[in-house]
Amino acid sequence: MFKTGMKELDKLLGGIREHAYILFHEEDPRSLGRELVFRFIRYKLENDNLMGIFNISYSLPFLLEVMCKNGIDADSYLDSLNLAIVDTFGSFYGPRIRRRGVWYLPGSPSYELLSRKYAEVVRAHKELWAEKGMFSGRELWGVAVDVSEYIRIFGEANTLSYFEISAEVRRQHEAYRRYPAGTNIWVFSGDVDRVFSSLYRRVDYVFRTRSVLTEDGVTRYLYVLKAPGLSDIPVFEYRITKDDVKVKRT
Amino acid sequence: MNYSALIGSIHRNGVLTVIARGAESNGDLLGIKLLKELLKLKEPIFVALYEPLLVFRSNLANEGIMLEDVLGDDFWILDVFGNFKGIERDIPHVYQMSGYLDDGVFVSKYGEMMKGLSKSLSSERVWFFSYLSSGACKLFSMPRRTYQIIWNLKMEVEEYLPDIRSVLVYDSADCPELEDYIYTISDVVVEAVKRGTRRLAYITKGGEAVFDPFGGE
Repeated sequence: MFKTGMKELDKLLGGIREHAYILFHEEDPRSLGRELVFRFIRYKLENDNLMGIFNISYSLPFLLEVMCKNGIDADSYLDSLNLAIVDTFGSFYGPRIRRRGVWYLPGSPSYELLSRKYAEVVRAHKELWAEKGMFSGRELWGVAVDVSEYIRIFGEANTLSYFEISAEVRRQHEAYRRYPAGTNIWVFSGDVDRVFSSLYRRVDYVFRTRSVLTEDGVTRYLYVLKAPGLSDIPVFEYRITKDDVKVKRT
Repeated sequence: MNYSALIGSIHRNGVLTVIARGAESNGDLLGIKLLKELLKLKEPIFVALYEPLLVFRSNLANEGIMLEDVLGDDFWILDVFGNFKGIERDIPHVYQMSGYLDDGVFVSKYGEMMKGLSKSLSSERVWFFSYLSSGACKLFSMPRRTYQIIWNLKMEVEEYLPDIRSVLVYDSADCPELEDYIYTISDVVVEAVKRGTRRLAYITKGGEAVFDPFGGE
């Protein structure tokens, strides 16, 4: 079981199962759910784990700036290879920035070919991890920010189709069979739709962040909507400070 | 919460955003108040104007600022609205883009202009002010993509402008699709809301406070 770094949450769940799929739903931007994801990335990298970020919604300079704002020294983790960034946004719209640890999908990506192209670059980076013996003793995480962008790019029906095909590709491709498979977080933002429902059914864990603005200010909640063995919905209140995330069960 | 404290909370390359929750929140006027505060610093200010110039000018005038008085080598406007609408003006320090414009052409011309401007500025620090970032949804055909690609320009001028501090003013009702980007990139977010007959401002990121947005300077 892997830790999330949020003590109260880890206490409740006992951690996250290795190879699990997690859907992380930032319901509204004010909830700063994405910040929780970046803090999680920071926590895992600071503990010398392996992290692949699938960057779907940001230009790379924007993503790097946001990581920097969240206390992640992306440059050093890219150099050490602990961090790999698959720059989907740049693959679609450019620019393609040549840099160690940053990968682009070849050709012009379409939803039919996307999962195979992903598998190819994932294999390429995993080869590096294997050559350097980096798998041993480290957790391997994949974080996609954010998958709701696919709906804007491909439309709802094609996005559904992409996710259905990609699961098959992951089952068969050597990137996932020959090398260790990761534990994955799919970040989804905004209103729920059929893509959300489909992902919800597919994954093992679902978290949702929501903010409420009252007279006194903003309160942020984290809901555990789905987790193995859980029936009720535990709710946490959280506060994000410069170097910490404080989480408390309500 | 006074305006100078808000401006003071913006660190090197930092971003403060005022989110107006609908026009009725008067959040855009809170933004103008902050611009007035910026003017006191006597540092270069670059304004990206996505709303009509006349609207900007009258809102400044209501704060006692005459646009013609402040325009100069330390106060530039890129009239994005005017450029997209083909409104020609000949006002010094108001940038015009000639010819055909679409999202992509705009970004490349914007880049050239920023590079030219960045080399001509004497100061290392420059303030970037947007009125209103949400206008992107009215002018661009692919606002999310274009917004991201515009951010790439920052990297291109980094060499000459190592410290760009931004005050963005954004109306969420006009452009909900950019709100996640705005929240993610901002270090400090102030939300302006109308509650019944009152107007309130909340710091919702980078601090915690509730204050009267127009309660004295």
